[in-house]
Amino acid sequence: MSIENYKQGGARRPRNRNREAFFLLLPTILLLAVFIAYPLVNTVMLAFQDYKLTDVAGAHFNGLENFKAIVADPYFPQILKNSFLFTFCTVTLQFLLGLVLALALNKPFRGRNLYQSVIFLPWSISALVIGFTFRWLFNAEFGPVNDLLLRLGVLEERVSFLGDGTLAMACVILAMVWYGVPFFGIMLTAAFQSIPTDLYEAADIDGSGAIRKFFYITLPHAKPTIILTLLLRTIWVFNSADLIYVMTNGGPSNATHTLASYMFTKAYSTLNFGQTGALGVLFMVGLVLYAFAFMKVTNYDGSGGF
Amino acid sequence: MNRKQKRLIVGLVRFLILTLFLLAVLAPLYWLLVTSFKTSGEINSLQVTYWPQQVTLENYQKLFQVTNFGTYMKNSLIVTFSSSLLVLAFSLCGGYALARYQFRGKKAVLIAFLVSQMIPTILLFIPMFLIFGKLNLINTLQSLVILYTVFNTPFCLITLRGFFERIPVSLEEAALVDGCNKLQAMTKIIMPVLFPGIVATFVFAFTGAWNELLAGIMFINSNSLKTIPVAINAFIGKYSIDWGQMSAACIIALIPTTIFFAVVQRYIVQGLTQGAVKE
Amino acid sequence: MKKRLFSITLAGMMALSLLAGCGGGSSSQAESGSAPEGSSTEPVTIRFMDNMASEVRDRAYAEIIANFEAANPDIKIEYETVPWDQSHSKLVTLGSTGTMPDVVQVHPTWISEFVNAGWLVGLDSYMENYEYKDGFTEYAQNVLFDETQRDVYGDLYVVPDAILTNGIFIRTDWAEEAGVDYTDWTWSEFLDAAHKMTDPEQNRYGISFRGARSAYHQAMFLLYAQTGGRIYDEEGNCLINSLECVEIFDQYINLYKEGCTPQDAINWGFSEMCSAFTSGLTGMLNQTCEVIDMCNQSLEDDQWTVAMLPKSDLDGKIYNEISFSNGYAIAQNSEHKDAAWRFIEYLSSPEAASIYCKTNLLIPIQKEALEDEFFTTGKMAGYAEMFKQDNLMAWPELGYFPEVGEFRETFADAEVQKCMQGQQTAQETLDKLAEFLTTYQKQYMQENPDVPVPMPKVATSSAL
Repeated sequence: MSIENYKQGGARRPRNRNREAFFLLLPTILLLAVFIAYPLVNTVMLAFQDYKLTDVAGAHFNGLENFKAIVADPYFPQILKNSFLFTFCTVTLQFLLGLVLALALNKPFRGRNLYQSVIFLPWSISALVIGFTFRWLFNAEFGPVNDLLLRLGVLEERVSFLGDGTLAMACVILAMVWYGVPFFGIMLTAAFQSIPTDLYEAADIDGSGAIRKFFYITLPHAKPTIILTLLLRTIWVFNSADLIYVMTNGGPSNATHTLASYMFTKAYSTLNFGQTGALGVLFMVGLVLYAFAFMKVTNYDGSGGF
Repeated sequence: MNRKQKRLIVGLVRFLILTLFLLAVLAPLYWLLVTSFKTSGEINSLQVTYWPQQVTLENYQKLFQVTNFGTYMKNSLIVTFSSSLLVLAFSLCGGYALARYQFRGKKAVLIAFLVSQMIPTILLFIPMFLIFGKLNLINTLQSLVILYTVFNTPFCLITLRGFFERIPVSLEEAALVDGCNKLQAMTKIIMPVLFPGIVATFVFAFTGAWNELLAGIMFINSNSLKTIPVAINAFIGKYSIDWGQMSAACIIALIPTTIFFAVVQRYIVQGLTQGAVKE
Repeated sequence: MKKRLFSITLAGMMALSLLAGCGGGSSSQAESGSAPEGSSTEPVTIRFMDNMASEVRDRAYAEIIANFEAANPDIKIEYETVPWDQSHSKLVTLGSTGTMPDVVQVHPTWISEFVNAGWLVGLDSYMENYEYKDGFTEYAQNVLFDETQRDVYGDLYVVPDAILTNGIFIRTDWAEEAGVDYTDWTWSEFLDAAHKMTDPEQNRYGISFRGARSAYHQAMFLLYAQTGGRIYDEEGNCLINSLECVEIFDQYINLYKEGCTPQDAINWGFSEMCSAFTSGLTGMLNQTCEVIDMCNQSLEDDQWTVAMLPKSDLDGKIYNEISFSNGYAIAQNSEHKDAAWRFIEYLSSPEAASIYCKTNLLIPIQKEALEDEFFTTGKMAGYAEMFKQDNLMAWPELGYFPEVGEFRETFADAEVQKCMQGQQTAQETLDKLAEFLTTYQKQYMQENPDVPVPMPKVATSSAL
């Protein structure tokens, strides 16, 4: 084996090892094949059928009808726009705040262990409870947010945070950010701490400033972690419906509905799983395209990560 | 500005940032805590209070007397630990294979893992119900163990693969030269180095399973098999929300996770820093 | 040394994982019910799911189930609960996978879905031999059994639990101060009262306005009063966008725009409306009888009462929704249909209905249970009084087509909210709602020419 191999993390040459790898991956592949592949195929099949749960016997393939119906839905453009806005703002804020948190946590200080275990707590509460709690916090009449702002003199009269489209979207994003910052915090702290200290020492000798060190050492080293977490987080956030469902139920007048929450409400109110499947297919195609574009742009593909 | 002043300012800014984060995290949690000690009259009053006018333990008493909260806790612990350990086992094997072997279809496997995260949850339930029906697993804790393993394995596997990649192959090969067999090399040499990474992965799987609500509602019918998120959700009635009991339940549910985080968080960070291992 | 410890721990964890997986499993299997119908000594277990789980309901059902099991040692009831918010999606999932509980609770708005999907069993053949089959009130027999089920689906599928109907919860002290008379009032007077009782100085609002999670439903009370209780004409044209309707709908939406209710009300569902009233923020609330319990807990007895629903300004009749809260049905996939029916028989008996209705504050559909003075005194008196009026009419359904679900859950609320925010006029809003309903009603009428168009029904005391 050459030295090169070690540096790369050392993947073995393709000898007769395929079988070993196969057996090691088999349990996972089997699990996913049974529990993910079947629903996946099912979704695609549904997308091209007139399939209503109330009339399963009458189900039949109907070509692109479902997709046409979705495009014709007058709410669709707004919901698409909401989804992008919601996902983009949430992930960006989660990432930036997580980054700040990780940088602040980077150097040891007294009580850091305790601090870390507290700061990660939001992550262990279910999204539904978070949704209800934030709905209450922002309630105009009973909620402490309004009360505090009034007492502090920031507001002169009560504001209906969840009653106004723009504000409601901001509140939903805020709750989602609160929930997700710890995730980025953990991942980034870990990535930063894995950077060999001698690199920084060398930079100190060169007289590099903190900002320069951040951009030339810290960020490049954490890049694979950042890319992977950003990618997965985007997918998860795009796919999360429960918090919105609880906080605003998509309202007022669809201002906070995203594709995921709209799909959820629509599926169970119409029981039209053909259209739901079609929405699901569009949803996944969009995410796959995003994932490819993201990996191309960030060059994750070539960095040996994928 | 000399170096000392500069350091002081940086330290101050850092302190400020850390304090702000702490306050932001604690504020909603504080609200839950305070609410859990309020009477229902005070909770539903228009007068917003930040400290209970009359501290009551009623919500906590009712939680254990009226509901089977102890049972829910037990169920949650069983499901969470079982599925997290399974996730770990799958991720260790799979992560190792992806890190150490070159084979055809490797990329396809990775992409499949990614795609598995993209399926809208709502479209998973009915097919999964049919599968569990065939396996006779509806209304069992096993169904949740399996589901949470399915949900959490892809991410954990990819993460663990990263840890394996950071361990030099030479370490492993040295062990083989010393006369260890493959398994011994694994358990004696690799695992100890990887241990913190394992803990980190375990935490991801743990929180994923501990929080999960919708599958818990869908696949469990019997009251004796409910998990904590399902039990907490049950305080949201058609006509009113029992905030007092819900808050109390949330606070109680936070205790095991707080202890768990406190114990393992040092490994999370150390774990994810395994790249620092040098030859 | 430390490293070895770690590897041992890890090995232990792996072993544990397998054990825990199996251990958790075996205990759960023992606990889960649905034992096969085995030897004669082994009781049959039937599953029964409550889909509005709450502490109060749990208590009532615990008593009912205990009574039933004592009298029927060969049947065991496995009681399951699901919170209201998830009950519809859970039942749909269970239904489409053939795993519904033996005895299912069905909300009146789900009947068409569940029956069309073939998830429920026709009950008429069982009902024929029921000892109390003639003990139901006439309204239950004529409207809840016949008109909304047998005439539409050709069979009885759901046995109603109890009657649920609306009244106006009102703060008597505020009303007095504002000079509001609520004894024999019309909807215009009601709207007027909402303005009069609003006093921003004292942080008082006239009405608990529902802006979300079935916002349209509250408006329907006023619309039906303008259409003579009709939703469609003979051809299936929806009538709710008539001139009279637009006028009153505009006034109703103005309650929100003009601050007779907090701005936050655009987000209010059931629980927010009720807590706004019980906490002393709003003076009026159009709600069903179960809310009495909540009010009893937080308001003084002399501060509030339940007033009769206002009359129509046009014809002086009271148009109310008189439906049931949650009916009982047998799942098609049940393997113990006879045992399931025996449980429904008991649930529908005067004895069980009395326990159920008294705990949940509902109005029984069993004549014998209704004789109890519990249902005609106290705060329930307002509802009893209403049933004595000879001008009381019950609303028709919105229709029997499955798209009603979409109308109710997504479409109507979004449109009403747009109107509340001033993004569209009352006329535009009602036009859209009417167009939606007309389209599907006409389609339904073409496919089901024999099913009559939904019509209002007389619901006077003689009928009840």
